[in-house]
Amino acid sequence: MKMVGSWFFLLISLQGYEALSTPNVNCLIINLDYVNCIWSEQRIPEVNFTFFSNRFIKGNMEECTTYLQEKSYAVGCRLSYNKSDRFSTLTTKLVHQSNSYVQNHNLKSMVKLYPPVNLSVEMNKDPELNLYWNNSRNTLCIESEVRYRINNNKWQTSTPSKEQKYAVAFPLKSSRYEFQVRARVNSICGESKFWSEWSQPIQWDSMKGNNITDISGSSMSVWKPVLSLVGTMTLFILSCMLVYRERERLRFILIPIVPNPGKNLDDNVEAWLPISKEMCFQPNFTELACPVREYSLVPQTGSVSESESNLSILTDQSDCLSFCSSSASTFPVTSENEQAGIE
Amino acid sequence: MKLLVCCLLAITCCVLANVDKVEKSMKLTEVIKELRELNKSVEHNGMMLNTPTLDIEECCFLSALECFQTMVPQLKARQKKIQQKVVRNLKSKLLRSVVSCNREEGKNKACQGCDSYPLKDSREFVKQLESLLQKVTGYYE
Repeated sequence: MKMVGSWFFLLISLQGYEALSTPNVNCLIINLDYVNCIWSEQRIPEVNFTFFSNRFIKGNMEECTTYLQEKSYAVGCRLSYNKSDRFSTLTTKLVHQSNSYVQNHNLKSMVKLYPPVNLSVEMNKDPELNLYWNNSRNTLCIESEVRYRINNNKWQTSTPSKEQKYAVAFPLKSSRYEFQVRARVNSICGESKFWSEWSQPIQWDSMKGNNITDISGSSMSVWKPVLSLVGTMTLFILSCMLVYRERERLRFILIPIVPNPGKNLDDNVEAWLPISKEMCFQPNFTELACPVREYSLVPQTGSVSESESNLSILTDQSDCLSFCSSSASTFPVTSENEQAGIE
Repeated sequence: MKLLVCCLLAITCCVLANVDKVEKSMKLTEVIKELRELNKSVEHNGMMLNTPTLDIEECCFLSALECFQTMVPQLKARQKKIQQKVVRNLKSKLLRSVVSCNREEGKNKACQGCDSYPLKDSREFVKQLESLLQKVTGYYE
């Protein structure tokens, strides 16, 4: 009984030892572009293995052309990938001296995509906050998952969908939203076990519009500086025009000449009082007295002659008033006035 | 006038081609969903069936599909209606046209007979059939 037990124990320990020394190859399809087969996940190998692989259709085992190195040891191999390779069995063989280890791999679900890119957020009129992105591969086989949080609270995750768009209805005012997206192959095309890494986050602030980290701001923020610049330039041009036209008047307002009482008052007034010729000022002015007389109507028999004389009086008075308009000439008023006055 | 007619014809053809592609893709999606429904209603009690693998030549996929189609009725399903629907879909011309091979070389090569495929349990059988349909869907997505 003891002998059997000890043999049994020896057998198990030998098997355990063998398991430790057998390298385990793990293959993963990266972004449906290439395959990485790595045999260093348990521990870094102490020897350099030669790697062979075979996809069923080809038949022969082919040696690896692109080894992945770490600390001068080969730790993996990069293989090319074709569209239907996912559904064929991949056979790998690791060889070192006389030892070889063969493994079969089913790669259907062993896919890891790159994270989605080009995230952008825009606000709708509904109101609805729309998030858009591009998946790393242009195929309908990919489903995406969105997560977002408001003001750095707990993350909320959406259900995965084929669309490259996500909408948040009635977004909260005066809040900051942060979005991230990740993708994987959907179940109709053979669901992948692994999601991609989360994309670069994008933030949206209801106060400011779009924010930092990623891409395009809202269209309003682009137009604001343009409009303000145009407005400023227009105002500047208008003010220049105004200044140019009214420069004379502005000169009087802005730079008035202050009279100096210290000077001799007998000086010519024209020198310090700048009045234009338009104004009616004459240095050699003699005022003529306009005689003012009252007349009363006296009813008499010869009515026609009186009406004529009344008319002539009126014209004499108007001559006095119109004196300023023709300043250069002097009126021969006196003789007519005297005649009218006597009568 | 002639140029206009030609252009309209070209546009119509392109649209129809795309519609055709979408129709095929939708058909495949429908078949996969029905198969999953069937899987839920099957009694997997260790029953063994000849299961075609996918490690075969591209042009032998049609014969593999035919093998699957003959084996599906042998499953012990509680819901017979779904089972019949799946068989009908696997026989459909649309699916056949999707799977069939266009390469001339492949048509001449002989494909394995249904009996030569290894025996696997019914769960593995359904899984392999689903993989075949998913592989074909990938061509059209």
